Amino acid sequence: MGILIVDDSKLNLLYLKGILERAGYSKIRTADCALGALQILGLKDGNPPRKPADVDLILLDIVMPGMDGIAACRTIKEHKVYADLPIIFLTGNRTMFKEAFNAGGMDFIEKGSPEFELLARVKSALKLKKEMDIRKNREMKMEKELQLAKHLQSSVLSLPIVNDSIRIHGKYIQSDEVSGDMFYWAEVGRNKYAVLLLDVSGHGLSAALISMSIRSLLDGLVGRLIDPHSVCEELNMKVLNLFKNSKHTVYLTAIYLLIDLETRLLHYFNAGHPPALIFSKEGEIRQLKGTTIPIGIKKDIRGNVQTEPIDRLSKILLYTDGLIEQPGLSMKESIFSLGSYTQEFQHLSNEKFVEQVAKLAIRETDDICIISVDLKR
Amino acid sequence: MFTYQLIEKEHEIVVLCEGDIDIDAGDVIEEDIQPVLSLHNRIVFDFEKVYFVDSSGIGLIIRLVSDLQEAGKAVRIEKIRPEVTEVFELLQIDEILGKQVFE
Repeated sequence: MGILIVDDSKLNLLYLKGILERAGYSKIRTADCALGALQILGLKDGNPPRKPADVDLILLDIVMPGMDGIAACRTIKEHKVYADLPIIFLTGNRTMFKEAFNAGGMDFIEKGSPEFELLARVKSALKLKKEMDIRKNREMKMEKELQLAKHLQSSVLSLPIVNDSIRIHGKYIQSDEVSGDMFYWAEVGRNKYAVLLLDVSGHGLSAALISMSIRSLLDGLVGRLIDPHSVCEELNMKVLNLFKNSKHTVYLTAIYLLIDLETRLLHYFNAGHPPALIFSKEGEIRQLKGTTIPIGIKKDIRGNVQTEPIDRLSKILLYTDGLIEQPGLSMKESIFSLGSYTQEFQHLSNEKFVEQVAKLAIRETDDICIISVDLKR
Repeated sequence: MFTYQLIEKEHEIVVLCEGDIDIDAGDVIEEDIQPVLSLHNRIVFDFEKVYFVDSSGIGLIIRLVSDLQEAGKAVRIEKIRPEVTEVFELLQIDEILGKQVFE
Protein backbone atom coordinates (compact mmCIF):
# COMPACT_ATOMS: atom_id res chain seq x y z
CA MET A 1 0.00 0.00 0.00
CA GLY A 2 1.21 3.49 -0.85
CA ILE A 3 2.44 5.95 1.79
CA LEU A 4 3.13 9.65 1.23
CA ILE A 5 5.39 11.47 3.68
CA VAL A 6 5.24 15.27 3.73
CA ASP A 7 7.82 17.24 5.71
CA ASP A 8 9.87 20.33 4.97
CA SER A 9 12.89 18.77 6.62
CA LYS A 10 14.73 16.54 4.14
CA LEU A 11 16.45 14.88 7.05
CA ASN A 12 13.11 13.90 8.57
CA LEU A 13 11.88 12.61 5.22
CA LEU A 14 14.89 10.36 4.87
CA TYR A 15 14.66 9.19 8.45
CA LEU A 16 10.96 8.24 8.23
CA LYS A 17 11.34 6.70 4.78
CA GLY A 18 14.19 4.62 6.11
CA ILE A 19 12.17 3.25 9.01
CA LEU A 20 9.23 2.37 6.80
CA GLU A 21 11.40 0.76 4.13
CA ARG A 22 13.17 -1.36 6.69
CA ALA A 23 9.74 -2.48 7.92
CA GLY A 24 8.94 -3.71 4.41
CA TYR A 25 6.89 -0.83 2.97
CA SER A 26 8.00 -0.24 -0.59
CA LYS A 27 5.62 2.23 -2.21
CA ILE A 28 6.78 5.33 -0.38
CA ARG A 29 6.71 8.80 -1.87
CA THR A 30 7.87 12.03 -0.29
CA ALA A 31 7.12 15.74 -0.67
CA ASP A 32 8.95 18.58 1.04
CA CYS A 33 5.99 20.96 1.04
CA ALA A 34 2.19 20.92 1.06
CA LEU A 35 1.94 21.94 -2.59
CA GLY A 36 4.22 19.08 -3.55
CA ALA A 37 1.84 16.72 -1.74
CA LEU A 38 -1.21 18.20 -3.48
CA GLN A 39 0.56 17.73 -6.79
CA ILE A 40 1.16 14.05 -6.10
CA LEU A 41 -2.51 13.70 -5.18
CA GLY A 42 -3.52 15.42 -8.41
CA LEU A 43 -5.09 18.36 -6.55
CA LYS A 44 -2.75 21.13 -7.51
CA ASP A 45 -5.14 22.94 -9.85
CA GLY A 46 -8.01 22.60 -7.38
CA ASN A 47 -9.89 19.98 -9.39
CA PRO A 48 -10.05 16.46 -8.02
CA PRO A 49 -8.65 13.68 -10.20
CA ARG A 50 -11.10 11.13 -11.58
CA LYS A 51 -9.07 8.36 -10.01
CA PRO A 52 -7.34 8.87 -6.67
CA ALA A 53 -3.54 8.65 -6.60
CA ASP A 54 -2.01 5.44 -5.34
CA VAL A 55 -1.68 6.70 -1.78
CA ASP A 56 -3.28 4.89 1.17
CA LEU A 57 -1.84 6.93 4.01
CA ILE A 58 -0.30 10.37 4.44
CA LEU A 59 2.18 11.25 7.18
CA LEU A 60 1.87 15.01 7.29
CA ASP A 61 4.06 17.53 9.10
CA ILE A 62 2.06 20.37 10.64
CA VAL A 63 4.53 23.24 10.71
CA MET A 64 5.82 23.94 7.20
CA PRO A 65 6.61 27.14 5.31
CA GLY A 66 3.84 28.22 2.90
CA MET A 67 0.76 26.08 3.32
CA ASP A 68 0.90 24.28 6.65
CA GLY A 69 -0.14 20.69 7.28
CA ILE A 70 -3.54 21.57 8.74
CA ALA A 71 -4.55 23.64 5.70
CA ALA A 72 -3.25 20.89 3.41
CA CYS A 73 -5.28 18.30 5.30
CA ARG A 74 -8.40 20.42 5.00
CA THR A 75 -7.85 20.83 1.24
CA ILE A 76 -7.32 17.10 0.72
CA LYS A 77 -10.39 16.16 2.74
CA GLU A 78 -12.57 18.55 0.74
CA HIS A 79 -12.32 16.15 -2.18
CA LYS A 80 -14.61 13.17 -2.12
CA VAL A 81 -12.04 10.81 -3.62
CA TYR A 82 -9.85 11.35 -0.56
CA ALA A 83 -12.55 11.49 2.10
CA ASP A 84 -11.47 8.11 3.50
CA LEU A 85 -7.71 8.60 3.07
CA PRO A 86 -6.15 8.45 6.53
CA ILE A 87 -3.85 11.32 7.46
CA ILE A 88 -1.49 11.06 10.43
CA PHE A 89 0.05 14.30 11.63
CA LEU A 90 3.71 14.55 12.51
CA THR A 91 4.20 17.10 15.21
CA GLY A 92 6.66 18.43 17.66
CA ASN A 93 4.12 19.84 20.11
CA ARG A 94 0.52 19.24 21.05
CA THR A 95 -0.77 22.81 20.93
CA MET A 96 -2.29 22.44 17.46
CA PHE A 97 -3.94 19.07 18.07
CA LYS A 98 -7.51 20.28 18.28
CA GLU A 99 -7.25 22.13 15.00
CA ALA A 100 -5.44 19.22 13.38
CA PHE A 101 -8.13 16.72 14.33
CA ASN A 102 -10.87 19.12 13.28
CA ALA A 103 -9.23 19.37 9.86
CA GLY A 104 -9.74 15.63 9.39
CA GLY A 105 -6.57 14.04 10.75
CA MET A 106 -7.10 10.56 12.16
CA ASP A 107 -4.01 10.22 14.37
CA PHE A 108 -0.72 11.86 15.27
CA ILE A 109 2.87 10.83 15.86
CA GLU A 110 5.07 12.97 18.03
CA LYS A 111 8.43 13.67 16.49
CA GLY A 112 11.06 11.71 18.30
CA SER A 113 8.70 8.89 19.21
CA PRO A 114 10.21 5.42 19.17
CA GLU A 115 10.16 3.49 15.87
CA PHE A 116 7.72 0.86 17.11
CA GLU A 117 5.11 3.54 17.84
CA LEU A 118 5.40 4.98 14.35
CA LEU A 119 5.15 1.51 12.82
CA ALA A 120 2.19 0.51 14.99
CA ARG A 121 0.23 3.62 14.04
CA VAL A 122 1.05 3.25 10.36
CA LYS A 123 0.07 -0.40 10.43
CA SER A 124 -3.29 0.20 12.06
CA ALA A 125 -4.11 3.14 9.74
CA LEU A 126 -3.31 1.05 6.67
CA LYS A 127 -5.34 -1.85 7.99
CA LEU A 128 -8.33 0.41 8.48
CA LYS A 129 -7.90 1.87 5.00
CA LYS A 130 -7.74 -1.60 3.47
CA GLU A 131 -10.92 -2.70 5.23
CA MET A 132 -12.65 0.49 4.18
CA ASP A 133 -11.60 -0.07 0.55
CA ILE A 134 -12.93 -3.62 0.63
CA ARG A 135 -16.24 -2.48 2.11
CA LYS A 136 -16.58 0.36 -0.39
CA ASN A 137 -15.88 -1.98 -3.27
CA ARG A 138 -18.44 -4.43 -2.01
CA GLU A 139 -21.03 -1.68 -1.62
CA MET A 140 -20.35 -0.43 -5.13
CA LYS A 141 -20.75 -3.92 -6.53
CA MET A 142 -23.99 -4.43 -4.60
CA GLU A 143 -25.30 -1.11 -5.82
CA LYS A 144 -24.53 -2.06 -9.42
CA GLU A 145 -26.24 -5.42 -8.93
CA LEU A 146 -29.25 -3.67 -7.43
CA GLN A 147 -29.49 -1.25 -10.34
CA LEU A 148 -29.29 -4.18 -12.75
CA ALA A 149 -31.98 -6.06 -10.82
CA LYS A 150 -34.21 -2.99 -10.84
CA HIS A 151 -33.69 -2.61 -14.56
CA LEU A 152 -34.50 -6.28 -15.20
CA GLN A 153 -37.58 -6.07 -13.05
CA SER A 154 -39.03 -3.10 -14.87
CA SER A 155 -38.04 -4.52 -18.27
CA VAL A 156 -40.51 -7.41 -17.97
CA LEU A 157 -43.50 -5.14 -17.43
CA SER A 158 -46.11 -4.99 -20.18
CA LEU A 159 -46.02 -2.10 -22.62
CA PRO A 160 -49.07 0.16 -23.02
CA ILE A 161 -51.95 -0.97 -25.19
CA VAL A 162 -53.54 1.83 -27.14
CA ASN A 163 -56.31 1.40 -29.69
CA ASP A 164 -59.72 2.85 -30.51
CA SER A 165 -61.62 0.90 -27.90
CA ILE A 166 -59.19 0.54 -25.00
CA ARG A 167 -56.06 2.09 -23.56
CA ILE A 168 -54.02 0.44 -20.83
CA HIS A 169 -51.16 2.30 -19.18
CA GLY A 170 -49.18 1.46 -16.10
CA LYS A 171 -46.50 2.96 -14.00
CA TYR A 172 -44.07 1.22 -11.74
CA ILE A 173 -42.45 3.50 -9.20
CA GLN A 174 -39.47 1.74 -7.74
CA SER A 175 -38.34 2.26 -4.20
CA ASP A 176 -34.68 2.42 -3.15
CA GLU A 177 -34.67 -1.34 -3.15
CA VAL A 178 -36.24 -3.87 -5.42
CA SER A 179 -39.64 -5.09 -4.31
CA GLY A 180 -42.49 -7.42 -5.14
CA ASP A 181 -44.99 -5.38 -7.12
CA MET A 182 -45.70 -6.44 -10.67
CA PHE A 183 -48.20 -5.77 -13.42
CA TYR A 184 -49.05 -7.70 -16.51
CA TRP A 185 -51.60 -7.41 -19.27
CA ALA A 186 -52.28 -8.99 -22.62
CA GLU A 187 -54.86 -9.22 -25.37
CA VAL A 188 -56.19 -12.72 -24.76
CA GLY A 189 -58.70 -13.06 -27.57
CA ARG A 190 -60.67 -10.98 -29.99
CA ASN A 191 -61.58 -7.85 -28.05
CA LYS A 192 -60.64 -9.48 -24.77
CA TYR A 193 -58.00 -8.07 -22.47
CA ALA A 194 -56.60 -9.52 -19.28
CA VAL A 195 -54.98 -7.23 -16.71
CA LEU A 196 -53.21 -8.47 -13.59
CA LEU A 197 -51.70 -6.49 -10.74
CA LEU A 198 -49.92 -8.30 -7.95
CA ASP A 199 -48.08 -7.44 -4.78
CA VAL A 200 -45.91 -10.05 -3.09
CA SER A 201 -45.89 -9.81 0.69
CA GLY A 202 -42.78 -8.34 2.27
CA HIS A 203 -40.18 -6.10 0.69
CA GLY A 204 -36.75 -6.27 -0.78
CA LEU A 205 -34.86 -8.92 -2.66
CA SER A 206 -36.90 -11.90 -1.52
CA ALA A 207 -40.18 -10.31 -2.64
CA ALA A 208 -38.58 -9.39 -5.98
CA LEU A 209 -37.34 -12.95 -6.49
CA ILE A 210 -40.83 -14.26 -5.86
CA SER A 211 -42.53 -11.78 -8.16
CA MET A 212 -40.05 -12.50 -10.97
CA SER A 213 -40.59 -16.24 -10.67
CA ILE A 214 -44.34 -15.69 -10.83
CA ARG A 215 -43.92 -13.37 -13.79
CA SER A 216 -42.41 -16.23 -15.77
CA LEU A 217 -45.63 -18.23 -15.32
CA LEU A 218 -47.99 -15.54 -16.48
CA ASP A 219 -47.74 -15.75 -20.28
CA GLY A 220 -48.74 -19.41 -20.17
CA LEU A 221 -51.19 -19.13 -17.33
CA VAL A 222 -53.19 -16.05 -18.26
CA GLY A 223 -52.93 -16.61 -22.02
CA ARG A 224 -54.14 -20.22 -21.73
CA LEU A 225 -56.80 -20.00 -19.01
CA ILE A 226 -58.16 -16.45 -19.46
CA ASP A 227 -61.19 -17.01 -17.23
CA PRO A 228 -60.73 -15.32 -13.79
CA HIS A 229 -61.90 -18.37 -11.87
CA SER A 230 -59.31 -20.64 -13.43
CA VAL A 231 -56.56 -18.02 -13.33
CA CYS A 232 -57.14 -17.53 -9.59
CA GLU A 233 -57.11 -21.25 -8.81
CA GLU A 234 -54.14 -22.06 -11.01
CA LEU A 235 -52.08 -19.11 -9.78
CA ASN A 236 -52.85 -20.14 -6.20
CA MET A 237 -51.79 -23.72 -6.85
CA LYS A 238 -48.60 -22.66 -8.62
CA VAL A 239 -47.55 -20.35 -5.80
CA LEU A 240 -48.32 -23.02 -3.18
CA ASN A 241 -46.29 -25.57 -5.11
CA LEU A 242 -43.43 -23.28 -5.99
CA PHE A 243 -42.79 -22.33 -2.36
CA LYS A 244 -44.00 -25.44 -0.56
CA ASN A 245 -40.56 -26.05 0.96
CA SER A 246 -40.13 -22.52 2.25
CA LYS A 247 -40.41 -22.08 6.01
CA HIS A 248 -41.88 -18.63 5.47
CA THR A 249 -45.40 -17.89 4.38
CA VAL A 250 -45.19 -16.68 0.81
CA TYR A 251 -48.32 -15.02 -0.42
CA LEU A 252 -49.42 -12.28 -2.73
CA THR A 253 -52.41 -10.08 -3.17
CA ALA A 254 -53.70 -9.62 -6.68
CA ILE A 255 -56.42 -8.14 -8.83
CA TYR A 256 -57.24 -9.73 -12.15
CA LEU A 257 -59.52 -8.12 -14.69
CA LEU A 258 -60.91 -9.78 -17.79
CA ILE A 259 -62.35 -7.06 -19.96
CA ASP A 260 -64.61 -8.32 -22.72
CA LEU A 261 -65.36 -5.56 -25.20
CA GLU A 262 -67.79 -7.78 -27.17
CA THR A 263 -70.13 -8.63 -24.32
CA ARG A 264 -69.27 -5.28 -22.66
CA LEU A 265 -68.63 -7.05 -19.36
CA LEU A 266 -65.81 -6.93 -16.86
CA HIS A 267 -65.11 -10.11 -14.89
CA TYR A 268 -62.67 -9.88 -12.03
CA PHE A 269 -61.32 -11.37 -8.87
CA ASN A 270 -59.61 -9.58 -6.02
CA ALA A 271 -57.39 -11.67 -3.77
CA GLY A 272 -56.87 -9.50 -0.72
CA HIS A 273 -55.85 -6.43 -2.68
CA PRO A 274 -57.08 -2.87 -2.06
CA PRO A 275 -60.19 -2.34 -4.21
CA ALA A 276 -59.94 -0.99 -7.75
CA LEU A 277 -61.65 2.34 -8.40
CA ILE A 278 -64.05 2.63 -11.31
CA PHE A 279 -65.05 5.90 -12.92
CA SER A 280 -68.41 6.22 -14.64
CA LYS A 281 -68.87 8.35 -17.72
CA GLU A 282 -70.74 10.79 -15.52
CA GLY A 283 -67.67 11.14 -13.36
CA GLU A 284 -68.84 9.11 -10.37
CA ILE A 285 -66.27 6.97 -8.59
CA ARG A 286 -66.98 3.60 -7.01
CA GLN A 287 -64.91 0.78 -5.56
CA LEU A 288 -64.99 -2.65 -7.16
CA LYS A 289 -66.24 -4.76 -4.28
CA GLY A 290 -65.78 -8.42 -3.47
CA THR A 291 -62.55 -10.05 -2.35
CA THR A 292 -61.17 -13.45 -1.58
CA ILE A 293 -58.15 -14.55 0.47
CA PRO A 294 -54.64 -13.81 -0.85
CA ILE A 295 -52.94 -16.17 -3.29
CA GLY A 296 -50.62 -18.85 -1.92
CA ILE A 297 -52.05 -19.40 1.56
CA LYS A 298 -54.75 -22.07 1.37
CA LYS A 299 -55.25 -24.96 -1.01
CA ASP A 300 -58.88 -24.19 -1.68
CA ILE A 301 -59.50 -20.67 -2.78
CA ARG A 302 -62.87 -19.49 -4.01
CA GLY A 303 -62.28 -16.93 -6.70
CA ASN A 304 -65.42 -14.99 -5.75
CA VAL A 305 -65.48 -13.74 -9.33
CA GLN A 306 -67.63 -10.65 -9.85
CA THR A 307 -69.06 -9.18 -13.01
CA GLU A 308 -69.65 -5.56 -13.86
CA PRO A 309 -71.10 -4.06 -17.05
CA ILE A 310 -68.63 -1.67 -18.64
CA ASP A 311 -70.94 0.34 -20.86
CA ARG A 312 -71.22 3.13 -18.37
CA LEU A 313 -67.55 3.01 -17.36
CA SER A 314 -64.85 5.35 -18.52
CA LYS A 315 -61.90 4.23 -16.44
CA ILE A 316 -60.62 1.55 -14.07
CA LEU A 317 -57.79 2.38 -11.69
CA LEU A 318 -55.69 -0.32 -10.03
CA TYR A 319 -52.91 0.39 -7.53
CA THR A 320 -50.75 -1.31 -4.93
CA ASP A 321 -50.96 -0.46 -1.25
CA GLY A 322 -47.87 1.80 -1.25
CA LEU A 323 -50.07 4.44 -2.85
CA ILE A 324 -52.62 4.50 -0.04
CA GLU A 325 -50.43 4.03 3.02
CA GLN A 326 -50.62 7.54 4.34
CA PRO A 327 -49.54 8.35 7.86
CA GLY A 328 -52.45 9.13 10.11
CA LEU A 329 -55.12 7.92 7.70
CA SER A 330 -56.91 4.59 7.86
CA MET A 331 -56.97 2.51 4.70
CA LYS A 332 -60.62 3.38 4.05
CA GLU A 333 -59.92 7.08 4.42
CA SER A 334 -56.87 6.81 2.18
CA ILE A 335 -58.82 5.08 -0.57
CA PHE A 336 -61.52 7.71 -0.28
CA SER A 337 -58.94 10.48 -0.54
CA LEU A 338 -57.36 8.76 -3.55
CA GLY A 339 -60.80 8.84 -5.18
CA SER A 340 -61.31 12.55 -4.57
CA TYR A 341 -57.78 13.35 -5.72
CA THR A 342 -58.14 11.46 -8.99
CA GLN A 343 -61.60 12.83 -9.72
CA GLU A 344 -60.29 16.07 -11.15
CA PHE A 345 -57.87 14.33 -13.50
CA GLN A 346 -60.17 11.69 -14.89
CA HIS A 347 -60.73 13.50 -18.17
CA LEU A 348 -57.03 13.63 -18.99
CA SER A 349 -55.59 11.22 -21.53
CA ASN A 350 -54.93 7.85 -19.94
CA GLU A 351 -51.18 8.27 -19.96
CA LYS A 352 -51.35 11.69 -18.33
CA PHE A 353 -53.89 10.43 -15.83
CA VAL A 354 -51.45 7.75 -14.67
CA GLU A 355 -48.72 10.37 -14.36
CA GLN A 356 -50.97 12.51 -12.17
CA VAL A 357 -51.89 9.59 -9.91
CA ALA A 358 -48.18 8.75 -9.61
CA LYS A 359 -47.58 12.16 -8.06
CA LEU A 360 -49.30 10.82 -4.94
CA ALA A 361 -46.42 8.43 -4.45
CA ILE A 362 -44.34 10.07 -1.77
CA ARG A 363 -43.03 7.11 0.18
CA GLU A 364 -39.73 5.72 -0.92
CA THR A 365 -39.77 2.59 1.16
CA ASP A 366 -42.26 0.61 -0.88
CA ASP A 367 -42.74 0.08 -4.59
CA ILE A 368 -45.91 1.36 -6.12
CA CYS A 369 -47.71 0.11 -9.22
CA ILE A 370 -50.51 1.99 -10.89
CA ILE A 371 -52.60 0.76 -13.82
CA SER A 372 -55.29 2.70 -15.57
CA VAL A 373 -57.63 1.15 -18.12
CA ASP A 374 -59.44 3.72 -20.23
CA LEU A 375 -62.61 2.46 -21.90
CA LYS A 376 -63.84 5.60 -23.60
CA ARG A 377 -64.56 4.93 -27.25
CA MET B 1 -40.27 -2.65 17.74
CA PHE B 2 -42.26 -5.64 18.91
CA THR B 3 -42.33 -6.95 22.45
CA TYR B 4 -44.55 -9.36 24.36
CA GLN B 5 -45.44 -10.55 27.83
CA LEU B 6 -46.74 -13.95 28.79
CA ILE B 7 -49.48 -14.25 31.37
CA GLU B 8 -50.26 -17.77 32.47
CA LYS B 9 -53.80 -18.34 33.62
CA GLU B 10 -55.43 -21.48 34.91
CA HIS B 11 -56.69 -22.79 31.59
CA GLU B 12 -54.92 -20.64 29.04
CA ILE B 13 -51.89 -18.53 28.31
CA VAL B 14 -52.25 -14.91 27.20
CA VAL B 15 -49.62 -13.35 24.95
CA LEU B 16 -49.78 -9.58 25.43
CA CYS B 17 -48.38 -8.21 22.18
CA GLU B 18 -47.05 -4.69 21.89
CA GLY B 19 -45.74 -2.73 18.92
CA ASP B 20 -45.62 -3.27 15.19
CA ILE B 21 -45.78 -6.69 13.63
CA ASP B 22 -43.55 -6.60 10.58
CA ILE B 23 -40.50 -8.44 9.30
CA ASP B 24 -38.51 -7.39 12.40
CA ALA B 25 -40.95 -9.22 14.67
CA GLY B 26 -40.10 -12.49 12.89
CA ASP B 27 -37.27 -13.60 15.18
CA VAL B 28 -39.22 -12.89 18.38
CA ILE B 29 -42.28 -14.72 17.12
CA GLU B 30 -40.51 -17.74 15.68
CA GLU B 31 -37.71 -18.17 18.20
CA ASP B 32 -39.17 -16.90 21.49
CA ILE B 33 -42.96 -17.05 21.43
CA GLN B 34 -43.66 -20.14 19.35
CA PRO B 35 -41.55 -22.60 21.43
CA VAL B 36 -43.13 -21.47 24.72
CA LEU B 37 -46.65 -21.87 23.38
CA SER B 38 -46.12 -25.49 22.44
CA LEU B 39 -46.65 -26.34 26.14
CA HIS B 40 -50.16 -24.86 26.24
CA ASN B 41 -53.46 -25.91 24.74
CA ARG B 42 -55.42 -22.66 24.85
CA ILE B 43 -53.69 -19.56 23.63
CA VAL B 44 -54.94 -15.97 23.51
CA PHE B 45 -53.13 -13.20 21.67
CA ASP B 46 -53.98 -9.78 23.04
CA PHE B 47 -53.58 -7.24 20.22
CA GLU B 48 -54.71 -4.16 22.13
CA LYS B 49 -51.28 -2.59 21.76
CA VAL B 50 -50.56 -3.73 18.22
CA TYR B 51 -50.83 -0.61 16.11
CA PHE B 52 -49.53 -1.74 12.76
CA VAL B 53 -49.31 -5.01 10.87
CA ASP B 54 -47.73 -5.06 7.41
CA SER B 55 -47.80 -7.79 4.78
CA SER B 56 -44.81 -9.60 6.28
CA GLY B 57 -46.50 -9.42 9.68
CA ILE B 58 -49.66 -10.96 8.25
CA GLY B 59 -47.50 -13.81 6.91
CA LEU B 60 -46.00 -14.33 10.37
CA ILE B 61 -49.40 -14.36 12.07
CA ILE B 62 -50.85 -16.80 9.55
CA ARG B 63 -47.87 -19.14 9.93
CA LEU B 64 -47.89 -18.95 13.74
CA VAL B 65 -51.62 -19.48 14.23
CA SER B 66 -51.85 -22.21 11.55
CA ASP B 67 -48.93 -24.12 13.12
CA LEU B 68 -50.55 -23.90 16.57
CA GLN B 69 -53.91 -25.00 15.18
CA GLU B 70 -52.29 -27.93 13.40
CA ALA B 71 -50.80 -28.97 16.72
CA GLY B 72 -54.35 -29.14 18.07
CA LYS B 73 -54.38 -25.92 20.06
CA ALA B 74 -57.26 -23.48 20.41
CA VAL B 75 -56.11 -20.00 19.40
CA ARG B 76 -57.87 -16.67 19.74
CA ILE B 77 -56.81 -13.14 18.82
CA GLU B 78 -58.48 -10.46 20.95
CA LYS B 79 -58.86 -6.70 21.19
CA ILE B 80 -57.73 -5.91 17.66
CA ARG B 81 -57.52 -2.20 16.95
CA PRO B 82 -59.65 -0.73 14.10
CA GLU B 83 -56.62 0.10 11.90
CA VAL B 84 -55.41 -3.48 12.16
CA THR B 85 -58.93 -4.85 11.69
CA GLU B 86 -59.07 -3.08 8.32
CA VAL B 87 -56.01 -4.98 7.12
CA PHE B 88 -57.32 -8.28 8.51
CA GLU B 89 -60.63 -7.75 6.75
CA LEU B 90 -59.06 -6.88 3.42
CA LEU B 91 -56.99 -10.05 3.52
CA GLN B 92 -59.88 -12.06 5.00
CA ILE B 93 -57.79 -13.45 7.79
CA ASP B 94 -60.92 -14.90 9.45
CA GLU B 95 -61.51 -16.93 6.30
CA ILE B 96 -57.92 -18.19 6.45
CA LEU B 97 -57.58 -18.95 10.16
CA GLY B 98 -61.21 -19.69 10.94
CA LYS B 99 -63.82 -17.36 12.42
CA GLN B 100 -63.45 -18.94 15.88
CA VAL B 101 -60.04 -17.26 16.20
CA PHE B 102 -61.75 -13.88 16.39
CA GLU B 103 -64.75 -14.77 18.55
